[in-house]
Amino acid sequence: MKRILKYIISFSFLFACYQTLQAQKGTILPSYLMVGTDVAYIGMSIFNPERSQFEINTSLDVYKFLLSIDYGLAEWNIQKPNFTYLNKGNYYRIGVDYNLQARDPDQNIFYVGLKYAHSNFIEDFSYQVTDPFYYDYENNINNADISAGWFEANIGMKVKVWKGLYLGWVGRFKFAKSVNYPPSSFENYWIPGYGKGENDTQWGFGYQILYRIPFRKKPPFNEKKVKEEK
Amino acid sequence: MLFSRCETTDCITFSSRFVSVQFLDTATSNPKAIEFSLITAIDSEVIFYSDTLSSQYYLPVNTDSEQTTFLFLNIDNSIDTLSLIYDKKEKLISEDCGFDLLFNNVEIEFTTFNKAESLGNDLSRLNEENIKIYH
Repeated sequence: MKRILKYIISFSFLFACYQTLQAQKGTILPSYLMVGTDVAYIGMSIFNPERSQFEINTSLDVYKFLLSIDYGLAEWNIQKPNFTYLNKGNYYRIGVDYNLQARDPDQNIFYVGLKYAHSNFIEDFSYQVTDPFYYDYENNINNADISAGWFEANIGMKVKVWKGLYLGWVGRFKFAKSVNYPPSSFENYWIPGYGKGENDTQWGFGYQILYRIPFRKKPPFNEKKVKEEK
Repeated sequence: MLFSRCETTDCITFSSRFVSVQFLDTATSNPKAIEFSLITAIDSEVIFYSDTLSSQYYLPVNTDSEQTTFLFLNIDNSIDTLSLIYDKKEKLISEDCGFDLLFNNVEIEFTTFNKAESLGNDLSRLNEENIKIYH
């Protein structure tokens, strides 16, 4: 008898979930894709001839969540009289944001999220030493096939400025970094998408321009039932 | 050792290329001044010390190698050697500060001194001594 009761309760629960999903179907399925780029990186690439970086940011809405994928390319070429340093690679971020303003009629987005990020890159370091005690020499260290992974907790905002055009900012706290570095006497200096290799945690900020490409009209989310006591 | 011009406090480094060698009395373990006609190293054409009397010597390692052999010419014209091995690391501090060479885990490879020991530490301006030689 107990077993039958357990089945009935389980079935009722599953049926209730299914009915809720059916009712909410219109708000769950994606209604738009947002595509953008980080304008700070574009500015840096224009004004700093040693550095170039380009990043594409995408997100797809699912219910109140945003499935987010970013991809970036970065190169840093330092040329100094006694050393040169080249870092070249790519990176991606993948994760989920939660839109805290999903009911906003103006479709502005205020979100928090968690992402996994990964980078593949190379480092090439050459230097010259003028030694007053022994002899002058040059050395070159080339480390290829370096990879790094880390997590990012982020908070950000995307504000509608005109039709589908949005401006946004994002703050990222990067943590739990692991680097797959070849045996080398040179210490990893930079990780594309992360920052300085010696830092166990890292803050990052982005300023984005984005465009919203709608697929369909999304019905409004159910309003919260508020009991008004008179 | 920093190889570039530094303008900010972030460029401060405590790394060093100098190994600190302390001579101690075998019986008392107190510092003992030892006289040498000269001190130099294999691969170097520079005399680091000449006609010197001291209990502590600061000797530059070869930064292009992970091994340096120092030669101590005694006043009786006999020669003692001290060969050190260490790990060399290159570290880029920043674009403006330049790079740093680090020498870690200094150990004695061989020596003709009767008794010598290494503290196994890094070459740093914060470490007072790296090698103890009992004489």
